[in-house]
Amino acid sequence: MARAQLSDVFPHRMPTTGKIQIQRASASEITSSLHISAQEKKRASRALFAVTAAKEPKVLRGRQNPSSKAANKS
Amino acid sequence: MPDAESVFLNVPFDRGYEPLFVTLVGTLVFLGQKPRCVLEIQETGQGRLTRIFQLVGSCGMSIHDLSRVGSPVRFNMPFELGLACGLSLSSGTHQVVVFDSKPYRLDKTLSDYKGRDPLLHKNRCAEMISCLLDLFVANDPLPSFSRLRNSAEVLRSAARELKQEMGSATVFRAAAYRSLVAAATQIVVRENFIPP
Repeated sequence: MARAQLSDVFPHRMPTTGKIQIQRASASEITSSLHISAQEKKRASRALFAVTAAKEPKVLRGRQNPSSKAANKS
Repeated sequence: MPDAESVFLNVPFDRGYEPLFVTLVGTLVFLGQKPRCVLEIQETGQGRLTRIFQLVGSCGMSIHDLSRVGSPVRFNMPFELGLACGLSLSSGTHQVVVFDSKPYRLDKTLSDYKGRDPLLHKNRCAEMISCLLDLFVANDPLPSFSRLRNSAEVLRSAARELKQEMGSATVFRAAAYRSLVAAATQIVVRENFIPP
């Protein structure tokens, strides 16, 4: 009986393609469902900033220290 | 009623799997899904099994990666697949998806599952993204493979930064996992894949 019903494991799949129809949550819905703290969000921001900085060192050096931009102009 | 956008991840937590895990978590977030896994579960006296079952039951879908079949033998993943299949058969509101890395292997290791082809990631991050794009369809067009691949690459780099900052050898820890998902949501907003 269990084997006969195994095909019912996928009741919401599209019958012709086997694909699953999804709805998409917003970014804030995702973070709230996992109870992500402000500290974890800040840590994530720092990590992403470091990745970007590693890729674009010259541009971001200026961004990190706006006074250096002014110094360069003068 | 389970949350249709929540996806329970039943995957191996080993060093070799980490890039695939980060890619899987990231791509799910990029596609507007909420990745959930046992890393979120802390022991509260209720019993781990009960809490795992509750978490699986709260998700509309689960992904089970059975690609790690070598020694030491791991029973957790097929066990949790069994829980999810039982839930699906009894409730009809839970969808089960199985991943593997090699074709036809599941026919031998899990013959009860015969007739259903697993999605094959071949232990490659790009293939993992392709699997998810093959699996999902939405009313609006999904982000392209190349945009997802580039974003996943950024997330893998961010995962390395996170581990370094936390002094952790792995992302398979509760705080590191939540920070990883936070980083994925920040990428998703930057790339405008889903609304903020």
